[in-house]
Order: sequence, then structure tokens, then C-alpha cells
Amino acid sequence: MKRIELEIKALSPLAIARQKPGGSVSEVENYIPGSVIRGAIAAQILKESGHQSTNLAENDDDFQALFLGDEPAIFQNAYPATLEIKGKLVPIERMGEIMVLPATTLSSKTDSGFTTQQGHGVFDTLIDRLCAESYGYPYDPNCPVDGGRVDTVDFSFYSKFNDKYYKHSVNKRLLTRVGINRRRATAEEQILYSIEVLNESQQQKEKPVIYKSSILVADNLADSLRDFIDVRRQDFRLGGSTSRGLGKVEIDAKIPVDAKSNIEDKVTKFNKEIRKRWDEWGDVFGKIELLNQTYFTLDLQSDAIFTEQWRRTTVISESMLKYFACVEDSFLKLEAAYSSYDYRSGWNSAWGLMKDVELVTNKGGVYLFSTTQPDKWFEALGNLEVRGVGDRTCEGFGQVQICNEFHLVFREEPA
Amino acid sequence: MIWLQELSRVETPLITITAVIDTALCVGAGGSSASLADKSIVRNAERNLLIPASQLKGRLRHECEKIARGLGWAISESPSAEKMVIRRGNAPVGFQRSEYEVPGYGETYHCLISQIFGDPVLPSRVMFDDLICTEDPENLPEVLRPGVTINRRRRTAEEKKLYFLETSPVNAKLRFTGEIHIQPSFTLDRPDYAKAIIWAGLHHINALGGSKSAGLGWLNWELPEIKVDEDIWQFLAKGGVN
Repeated sequence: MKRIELEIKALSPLAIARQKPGGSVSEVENYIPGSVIRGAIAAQILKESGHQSTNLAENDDDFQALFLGDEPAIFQNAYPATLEIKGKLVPIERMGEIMVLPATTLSSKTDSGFTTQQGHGVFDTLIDRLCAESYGYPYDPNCPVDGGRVDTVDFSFYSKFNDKYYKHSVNKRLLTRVGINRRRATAEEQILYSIEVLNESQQQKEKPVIYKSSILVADNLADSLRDFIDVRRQDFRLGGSTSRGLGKVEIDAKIPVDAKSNIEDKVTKFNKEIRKRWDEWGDVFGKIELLNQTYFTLDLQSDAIFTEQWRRTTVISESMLKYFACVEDSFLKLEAAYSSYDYRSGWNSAWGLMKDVELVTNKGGVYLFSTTQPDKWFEALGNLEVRGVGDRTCEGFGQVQICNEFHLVFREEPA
Repeated sequence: MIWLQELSRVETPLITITAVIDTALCVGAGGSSASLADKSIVRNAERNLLIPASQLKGRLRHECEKIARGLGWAISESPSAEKMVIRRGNAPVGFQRSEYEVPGYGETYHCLISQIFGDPVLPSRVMFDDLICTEDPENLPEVLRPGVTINRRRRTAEEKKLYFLETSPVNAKLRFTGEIHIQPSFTLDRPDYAKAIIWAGLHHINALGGSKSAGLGWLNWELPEIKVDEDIWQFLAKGGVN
């Protein structure tokens, strides 16, 4: 598979609705979901081909391969990528990947945030919790700066630049609109509404708002899809109210590269750190031998939809992981799971109908597994990082990262 | 069969329009409370003044509806969603005509204006951009215009009726520029009248924003020249012939 990186620059406000208007305010997501990008590209292809109302499922063509086949292209979520340090914008290409903070991270309740941005620091608790539980002690950390209370972090996206961590966020505002009664030239009854939107940047301005995403696509289609997007870079409109000036974007599609990931190094580094930390706990509480197991984590980088025995779940069990990765391993054990849930729906313009309401596992979820047969897993986990886990992965759901390196940020040296 | 490399980009005609404001402009931002004014002016994230695309679209639709109605066409009643959907089963006589049929929408009729601006069933085929003031916001001072209601009997200021409007600077000839994208027609067998009727509609808009009758928001348009074919005029003139 090839990866086409996308840089999406917002040229007008984006109305990416979180829930369809039932009330008078429609909330906005703080990122652009993969399904929105996928829908915009599919709509553009259909419009240009003139096949908007024909059955495309049976044709053996590019559209079928991209959207309807057994292994469709994967449109990942676009996360905010604008980073300003001391009043200067960091070039996108020098910035690391935009990632989602694991659910196990904590920060000061009163001064939350990275040390680079006037916070008291963010640290991860996954490994310490594992050690504490194994040693039989409660784990109750406090703020490393003032000893105050700690809480989960109130933002999700971060990146690493010059070995330092920075948070990424978006600004929102509320647009209020009213329908005018044509006869009386006053506000029409019941047509007052507010749309929450993501702020935009205008062309030629110094502070662009950019979102980064990727499309993972079969090797033979990568170049033609990239060319298709590149030629129409300003033709796409994302989100709602597009005929009323919202959703205008410019998409910059990069040259396709191989989508590969080196899992073994990450897992080795993660395990080395666990052993080191285990020994440090042992020095204080009396040593217990750590079993000869290899640990690895699955960190959800986007919301995911999981089903087990036809029922919705928010935990990846051992059998689910074995099924996702197509690996037989009777020694696989789920050590810990940290996840929460939410509901998602959406609008499918091809059907002209609302999508089903799904129970999703929130991004940031962490699943810690251990096994005594790690060699079986390295390649399979690499594939999972590319393909994702759970349902509707082609719409950006279920993106995972193996052994996110933020798990190695401890309380003594918060990021 | 759809092959990506065989698709040719559909060029959406880009029409750049500019509104030159002759007086002061007052487009109120609902729910805003960042200024001293009772009705503050709407700005984008870069603090530029703007005329929202939704206002331009709504206003232009209204003018186009008036023109089409004047030509004898039956026009659905916007902005009320229920009144805009004309089902074929119980359509009024004026709507039962072949010009109002759109391929792929077998159950509904769509008036000439809905075929351009959309309705709850049919998507809009014109995309509007916000008209954004090209002047740097740093150069534009905040202008507050006080107003007071006069008690008709005593001819003095009415109690509690002093208000402040935020406006753009007066007589600054501010230019608000944006684009209209007109996508291909749903019915390719009929003359595409969208551009002609939008042009005519734009010329009917003399003022935008609030307090128009009190002298705010009067403007001139700078529009590129367009050429309208004779068959489009012939088609539009058929309104009264059913």
C-alpha cells in the first residue's frame, strides 16, 4: 500500500457537524473526519464521470477499487497541524506526525499542558500503573511541579518538534444566521440557527490553518488518485453549508510513498523501558521477577468501532486482536485497557440519508497486551498500523499506533 | 466504468464580483459581544470585514425570484422549507410543466430558481464565497454610530432607546470581493439561464446589511461583462406560456 499525505488548508470556515441539527446549535468536530474527505472525493469523481445515479458496485473500475471493493482506500482523519512557536510558524514538513495523546496521560488539574506551552507538564502512567499493580500498591500520582492534583488532559492532538512536545488545537466560533420573511422583510419564524465552525485562514495570509491527513491506497491507484486531487486542489468543499460560503479548502496531495512501519524497534524500546522501570519499583518495594514476556500496546489514533459476538464493545479482547491480525497465539494476554465511548452518526449524501448511530471507542484508547511469542506479531502489527482495526476503517475509524512513544514519558521528567 | 485518468476536470466558471460600498456598511453579527456596540459588525477569523455568503445568496435568490415571477414563472416560496418542496402528486397547476422536471428527481417539481439555488430536495448548483473586504483590518478604525429613538409626542429622546451600531468607515469606498461558482446545469437539454438571471438579480441589489432604509449599506457592483445568447432570453420569456 502507498500513503498519500494531504495538507488541507482551510480557506473559509468549516462546518463539520458533530451532531445533526436537532436543536438550534450544530456543534463542530475539532478535526476533519476521514469520512468527510472520502465523501468529498467520491462526490467529485461521480460528478465528473456523470454516474451520479447509476449502480457502481458491479463495475470493475477505479471507483469500485477505491471505495467499494474488498480492500478500499483508507481515508484517515485530518488533524490540526498549525504550530506557532514564539510567534513564528513551524514549517509543516519539519514537524513530526500529528498524534493523539493516550488516555493514560495525566497533567496538572490547574495548569494543564506541555512544559513548552506554560503548563506543568504531561506524563504517561501506563507503565507505572502496570508496575504498581504487579507490586500490589495503589498508584496515585500528583503534579510533578507543585504536588497538586492531576487529571486527564483536556486536549488530544500533539506533535514532536526538536524533541519537544507541542499541543495542536483549533479555534472555533459561532455563526448565527436567520431566514428573512420575504413579505415582511423581517426574521422568519423558526429559521434562526447557529452553526459552530472551525476558523479559517484566507489566502496569502500569514497564519494559515492547516490539517494533515493521509490516504492509504493500493499501489496501482496511488499515482492516479494523487494526480486527480492535485489538479483539483481548490475544487473540494468539506462539511456542511458549502453553497453558503463554508467548507472551501485547498488540498495539497504529496507524492505517494510506501506505507511501512518498523514495529520491532518500537516494541524493543518499549520493553526495555518496562524492565528498567520494573527494576526501579523493585528497588523500593522488594524485587519480584518479571515474567519473560514481551509487552506491546495498541494506541487508538482515531475513534474506532468494535464488535464482539455481534455486540458493541470498547475493549479489544485477545480473540479480537488475533482475528484482526490473523495470528494464532494462545499466550496472548490483555493486561490492561483504558478506553471510553461516544456516539457518532453522519450524513451520507450518496444515499440522501443519515448514517446509523454507532457506538464508538474514543480516540486515545490504550490496550496493553503481552505475549511470549513476539516474533509472530511484528509483521502483523505493522499491517494493523497501516490498515486499522474494527469496522469502517476506510472512513478513518480504527487507526492504531503500536507502542506510542509517549508511554515512555514518566512523571519525573514530564513533557 | 470510471477510470481516474480518463476524467477531465469540469471547469466551474469562476465569477469574481466586487461590491463597492458607497456609504457605511452594517452587517450584524448575531450573538457577538466583543464590542461596545449593541449590534457589532461581522468579521472573519482574520478580523476582515465581510458580507456573508449566506446573506448574498439569500438576497440574490429573492431578487431572482422576483424577476422570474415577473416573467410569469411559478416560483416556490422560500425560505420556508415546507413550502419549497412541490410534490408531483399535489402540485399547483403553475408548477406542472416540463421545465420544472429534473432528471433523477421523479417525485418533485423544482421551479427555475430552485434549480439554481437549491431547495430541501435538490442541492444548490451555485456556490457563493463570502465577500471579503480587501482593506487591511489594521487600517480600519472601529466606527460606532449612535442612534436614538424620538418620542413622537414630546419630540425628545425616548427613554432606554439609545443604541450603538458598529459600521464600516463612512464613504471609504471599501471593496468587498468574492467569487460565485456556477456548476453545470441539471438539465443539459435546456438553455442554461443561471448566469443571466444571477446577473440581472445582482443589478437589483442596491444595498446590503442592516438599516438600509436609514442609509447604510448602499453599494455599487463591479461585475465582469457577460454575453447572453438569444435562446436564453427566449427561454426565460416563455414564463407565461404553459
